[in-house]
Amino acid sequence: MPIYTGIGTYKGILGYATAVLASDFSTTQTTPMATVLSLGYTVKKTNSVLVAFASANAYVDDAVNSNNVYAAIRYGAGPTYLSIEGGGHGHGGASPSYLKNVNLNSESKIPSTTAGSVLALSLALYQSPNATPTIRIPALSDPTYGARLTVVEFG
Amino acid sequence: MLTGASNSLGSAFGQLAADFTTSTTGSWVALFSVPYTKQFEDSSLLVFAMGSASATGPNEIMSRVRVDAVTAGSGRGGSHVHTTAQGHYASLDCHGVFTGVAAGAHTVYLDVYITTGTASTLSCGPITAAPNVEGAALMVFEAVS
Repeated sequence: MPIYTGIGTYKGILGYATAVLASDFSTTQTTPMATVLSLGYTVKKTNSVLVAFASANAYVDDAVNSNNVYAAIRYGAGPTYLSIEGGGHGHGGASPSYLKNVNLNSESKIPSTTAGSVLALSLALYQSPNATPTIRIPALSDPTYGARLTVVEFG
Repeated sequence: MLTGASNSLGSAFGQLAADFTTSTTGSWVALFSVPYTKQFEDSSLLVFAMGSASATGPNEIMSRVRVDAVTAGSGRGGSHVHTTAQGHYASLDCHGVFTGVAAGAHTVYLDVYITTGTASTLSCGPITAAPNVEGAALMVFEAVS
């Protein structure tokens, strides 16, 4: 059953915040989800519409193991909150034949809140089921990889 | 972290209108573009791209958004493909936030990148023929920062 339905009306964008991965990221963590990057946003208007977007491209760096990788936008301390999870799978290794590339895009509708409150959002990833291959996201200075998290407030 | 405020000032939407194919590898290629006239000097452009494509492989596929020649504000999208028989779908979704773009006429692009894998061809389409499962779209919002 859907939680949010209907078509909203809005006059425009009240504000936004965006954060970008500034240095290379890597993790072998499985649980809990590993945080890739985070941001804070001060809400401009009570009961506005808040939507978060994440765009990230990572790779599995392991010569043997393949793995499934999931991405989610977390609200506050988490766990995952109303996020539409993204993800993919990677096979590891440096050879193109291993197909290591993983899409970590995710979207999330943030519950309405009050003006002046600070949203703490993060992009996090989870990997399973194989034993701890390294997930790597080179910083956005790399031409083909990187991560960005953006929240937009519509009002 | 960059934070913006105030109302959005304008927007644009566009979608891929004709079938697209490229065999270029190792460099970025424009899949399609949307024109946008930026109204204010100090505003930002929020760009959202969605797309689904297919590619021969095995290969790695990446995507980004771009304003004219400016790429620094883009996030990254992408996925990998196996072979046509084993799984050749590629997601092109990504978004970007661009600051410091001058007022006036600009072009917003969705770019794709194919690594130098096997039998490298990426296609987005058919757009108008069944089963209409592939395509791409761009949304642009101008907001004060």
